[in-house]
Amino acid sequence: MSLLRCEAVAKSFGGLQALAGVQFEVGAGEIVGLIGPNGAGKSTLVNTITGVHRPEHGSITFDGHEVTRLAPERITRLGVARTFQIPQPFHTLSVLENVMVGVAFGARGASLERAAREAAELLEFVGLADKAHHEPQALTIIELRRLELARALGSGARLLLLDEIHAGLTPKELEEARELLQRLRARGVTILMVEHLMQIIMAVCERIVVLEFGRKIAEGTPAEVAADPEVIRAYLGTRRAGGARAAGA
Amino acid sequence: MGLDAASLLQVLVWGLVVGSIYVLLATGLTLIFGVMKLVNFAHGELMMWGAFLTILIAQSTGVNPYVAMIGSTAAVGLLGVAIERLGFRPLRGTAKINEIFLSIALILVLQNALARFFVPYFRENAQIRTPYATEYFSLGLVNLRYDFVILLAVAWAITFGLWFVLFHTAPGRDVRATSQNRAAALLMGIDVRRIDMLCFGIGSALAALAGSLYGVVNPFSPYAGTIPAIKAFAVIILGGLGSVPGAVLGGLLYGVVESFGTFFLGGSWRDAIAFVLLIVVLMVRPQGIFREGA
Amino acid sequence: MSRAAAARVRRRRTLPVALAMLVAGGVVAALVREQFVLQVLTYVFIFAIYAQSWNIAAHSGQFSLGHATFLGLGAYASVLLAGRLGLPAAVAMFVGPLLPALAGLAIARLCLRLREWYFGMVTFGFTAIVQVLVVEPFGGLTNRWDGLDAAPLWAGGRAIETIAILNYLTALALMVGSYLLAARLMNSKSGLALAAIHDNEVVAAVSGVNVRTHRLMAMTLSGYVAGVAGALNSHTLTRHISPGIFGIEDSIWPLLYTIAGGLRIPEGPILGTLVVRVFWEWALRALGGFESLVVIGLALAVIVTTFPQGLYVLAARAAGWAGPRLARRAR
Repeated sequence: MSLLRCEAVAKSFGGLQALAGVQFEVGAGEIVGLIGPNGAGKSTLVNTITGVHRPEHGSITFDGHEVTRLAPERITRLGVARTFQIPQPFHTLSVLENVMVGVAFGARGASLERAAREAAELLEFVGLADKAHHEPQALTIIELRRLELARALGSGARLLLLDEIHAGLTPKELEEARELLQRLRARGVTILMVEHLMQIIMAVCERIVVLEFGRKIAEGTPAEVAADPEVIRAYLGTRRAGGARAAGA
Repeated sequence: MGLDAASLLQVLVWGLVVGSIYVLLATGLTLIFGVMKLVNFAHGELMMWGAFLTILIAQSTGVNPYVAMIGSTAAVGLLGVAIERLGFRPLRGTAKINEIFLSIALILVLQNALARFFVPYFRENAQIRTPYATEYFSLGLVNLRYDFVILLAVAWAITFGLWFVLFHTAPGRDVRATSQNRAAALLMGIDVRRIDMLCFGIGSALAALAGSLYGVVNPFSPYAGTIPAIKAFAVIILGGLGSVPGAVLGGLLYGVVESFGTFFLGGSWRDAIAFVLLIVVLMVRPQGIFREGA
Repeated sequence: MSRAAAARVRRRRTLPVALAMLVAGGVVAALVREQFVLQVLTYVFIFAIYAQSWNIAAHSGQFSLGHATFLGLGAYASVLLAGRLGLPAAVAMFVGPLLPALAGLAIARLCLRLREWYFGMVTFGFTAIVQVLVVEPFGGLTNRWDGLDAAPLWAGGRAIETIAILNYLTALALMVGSYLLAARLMNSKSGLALAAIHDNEVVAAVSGVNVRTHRLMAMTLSGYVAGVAGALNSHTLTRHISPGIFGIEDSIWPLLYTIAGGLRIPEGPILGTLVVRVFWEWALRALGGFESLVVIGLALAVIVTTFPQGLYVLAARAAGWAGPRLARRAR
């Protein structure tokens, strides 16, 4: 039974077709990777699923609910949560209060007291317990990503959309991040992760969806996708273009 | 007044004159907003300082008021630099609303200091008297005051001059870069604090010039600047904060709409018309006509 | 560990602060016999209510530059209800402000997509529009620019001194009430939502916060509280209401008082109104004329550039009981 189902989802900005009929499913308990060259529409897809953007066509269902045109907070309360590519903490709230927002207003709608308790537990889970009363400004970029993760988990997510949470990590940090993903999975959370780092995608994802120019060009296990001629073309193509830019700069 | 072509043309000319003053005010405000993301509500008080200093210089030296404007504009520009250094710079990084608070404090200081010096001489209202005050051009249907022509020429020469500097010189490029992305500009080695100071100074100088021109066509008091400055603020919101083309277009539009609105609906609607226009535009385009930083 | 963390979020107690304010205000009333001092303090209490209403809207990131709309509409509605329908002023004072509450709701609805400067300018514009509406289409009801006399809140053959004390005590009680309201709101679950919206609307929404409802709620409540302040002011201190109330000045006061005291802190507007107003009155009398206003302006500029977080945080730091929470709020 699929938890998330996107059917023919289309979204454009002005003349730019960011998503041109994307179709895929995520099953309960899966870890699915969403990859593609820059500008393929990955972030737009995340924004569309979470209700930040409204698609012009197609439908998105989550756990049997039609969520295509729901407001973002309604979708969150059904159990979809996300992190942002550039962490955006609530800067006048403490680290603990940041997580409390998710717990208090997400799927569980907890009272403040319960939200504080659960938020503290979540901070412990992501390894930020000792920073609970700091301001977000005092956190490093990695800690901010973990804060976002805790806030997203706090909102009672059954489906977690992670937008490039591994960019710029050192090998040791990557190892910690992988371990955190495994623990997330043990909690029964389904994950759709946007990622540029093939290394981590290959290691943790069971299935990968590849986007290019707003279309799905491939889907399958890591091994299948890695061998797919379309994917190789798309990636080599961009790599070449990237190389040319670098040489020209 | 009847609805004949001559009076409509007269209303249009007045709209253009008032609009050109708004353009100068708004361009200064938007220049400052672009790089510093702040609005100095005391802009109108700097405007009146400009007008009074022009009178002071013209009377004490006997030069033509249009020449005296050079001195008053420069002096208020320097005052602006001082205000940026001592006032707004320490507030960077604190709540945005603090800048409005400081502007209000500056309004109190500048307005009353001005009143303290000038009210004994001028009682309620002053006006800048030029040698051409009673001379007119005939332009077929309408008679055009010489001063209107000079005012339009000065305002637009300065506006286009600024435009040229912004879009065709190295310092102008630095200003635009800072306006678009402060962090990136800093990384590229642009001294953004110097840009702040420069823009605040130029913006203040433009206010002084606008005030001096305002004083040629209107009687004024130390308190006369507040409303035009707020309208200039509405203009840059209308045009899109930080956008120079937006300020120019918005200022002209505003002047003309206000002039016709007052003509057709009567004086008590004057301020409200402008805001109805602003609200309608923002309902349709929440970011203004031009987007921020354009 | 987690329990300790949870305990520290439990909010500061507000009831003792409220009681302390009531007692202090009562003691002053018992000791001070000078009419002028009582009058200034009554003004402080009324405008602290008004500033608190602005603070409530500001807590959700809705920085209004046109709060005089609500102050004025509350005053007009109450004065008209008392004058035309013969409602007792004490009742009209709480019914009339339903009009500015509605105005707050309507303006917030229109401004839902606007933020920061755009929001501020539109709220400012509404004040100018409401002024014209009050004078022109409703001129018959409002007596145009001349305005209306307001029924007194306390009357009936009492001595002037007694009325002054009663006005003072009423204003004090309502100020403490508005403080409790704001403090409870800011420390509640809704307060957390408002703070999240203040910081980032998109992230608040994807965290499950209903941004729209909370923004509307904050402005509606703010409009109501501002309206009560306006009504109270016209039934006690000014005893008259005119369209001049929809001017720039009355929109500036709450901002000035709140920021001087401490933005988004329930004690901020009270401390700010008290300090700024008392200093203002002192300067006017001690220095007089234009000089006094120049000095006041300079003092305000010094306050904001040296203590941008406001006097309450400064005082709390000095007394050693400011948590990091306070400092964050006021940023």
